[in-house]
Amino acid sequence: MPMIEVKNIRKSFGSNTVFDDFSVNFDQSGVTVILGPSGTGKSTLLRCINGLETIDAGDILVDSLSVKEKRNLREIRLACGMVFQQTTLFPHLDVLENLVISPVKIQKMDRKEAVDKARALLDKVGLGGREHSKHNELSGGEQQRIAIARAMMMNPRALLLDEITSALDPEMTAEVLRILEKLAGDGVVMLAVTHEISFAQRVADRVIFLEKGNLVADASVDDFFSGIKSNNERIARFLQNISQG
Amino acid sequence: MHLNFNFLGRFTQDLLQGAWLTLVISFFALILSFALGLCVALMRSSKSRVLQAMGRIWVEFLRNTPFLVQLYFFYFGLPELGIKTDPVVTSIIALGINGSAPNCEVIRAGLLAVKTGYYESAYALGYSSFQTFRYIVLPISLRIAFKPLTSNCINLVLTSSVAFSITVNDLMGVSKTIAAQTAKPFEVYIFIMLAYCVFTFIISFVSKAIDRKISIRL
Repeated sequence: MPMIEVKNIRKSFGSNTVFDDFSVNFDQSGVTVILGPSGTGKSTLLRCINGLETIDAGDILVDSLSVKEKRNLREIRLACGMVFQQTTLFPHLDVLENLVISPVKIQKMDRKEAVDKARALLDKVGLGGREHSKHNELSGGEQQRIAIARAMMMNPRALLLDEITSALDPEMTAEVLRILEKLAGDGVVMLAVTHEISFAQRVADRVIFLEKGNLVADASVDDFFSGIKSNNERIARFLQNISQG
Repeated sequence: MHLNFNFLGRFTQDLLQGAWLTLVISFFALILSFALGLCVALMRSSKSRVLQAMGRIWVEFLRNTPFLVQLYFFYFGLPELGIKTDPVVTSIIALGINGSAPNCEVIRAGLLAVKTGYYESAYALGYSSFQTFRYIVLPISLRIAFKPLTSNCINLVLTSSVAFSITVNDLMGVSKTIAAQTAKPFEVYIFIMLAYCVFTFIISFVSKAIDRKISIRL
């Protein structure tokens, strides 16, 4: 049974219809990369799954819980952690408190346990020793790595990654992608909206390609970058444009 | 004109008592003005149009009526309805209510300055709306609002001097009595102005030190 079932959803912003009768499923494991041109609904899809956007019709089930029911949202959000394009570390807290506050206040985790876990995660993202830094003392790449660690503090079963490297320079992007590869190696389920093709080729199990709210391709990473890429002119052009920067 | 402040030595006890009362009135009025200001700021930021309108009326009414009239209303007007409090308590209530209007506007500006991204990050981590407000939005917005809140605090301490007009023997009340007794209003009021300056400089100094500790860059 899939972890996330997107069933015939419709989503509009005013007169702009992003999805109309759109369906897709995401399994209990693996890394799925979501590709597609800008404004095609990739981020909206993740935001709908997380309940940050409401859907107009259809349904999205996460572990069989509907995002349309308000009372399910907390459980769904704890199951699906999300990291955004613009890092929003809480500015009144240092790095360690950014990680510790949520499990302590939301999941009622013992503070000492949370601190130990936060330190372990900071080591994992290569930022051990920076626990007392403030957000404005960190580079963009470091902030994103902290944001990933913050999401992981809640023990999510899946991570929704919304173009988390698009505001970073190549060096910082590489730092962040290394962390994601590590997490993928640990078996964390990921849905990643990204334009990092090399990341998709190295780490993803599945690639889906969206255009104007439609599923143009849904394939294993090998099939996508060999067969589909050469057979679908639109996808080939998109990938060429990305590779040309 | 020869300035001589030595005669004030005889009134040290009275002046200290007056200064203490000024501090007590200001302290409690400050707490009340902050609590009310926060409540009205939440009303003005709520989705309910009725609450928004009530908050707006509260702020506009207080900002557009003289404080002295408000104070007289509480002290001389309310007893007609059977509500009578002593002058000190009346001063605290009147100052607290009056100070809630500027505090509301400053806190509201702080709330509006918190970016949507912080709300979304909190929701995505499983926070409820209340938890998001309690643990994320309020601490950020109060840090943003801290400096202007300090200005309001100084303003409130200075405004507290009006309390003498309802028989409160605060610093201003005591100085008025001393000026009448000694017939040296020039020296007395210079001294009192300096005393208020000391109060506000101390508040300013302490608040700057706090601000350095808690200020945030968004």
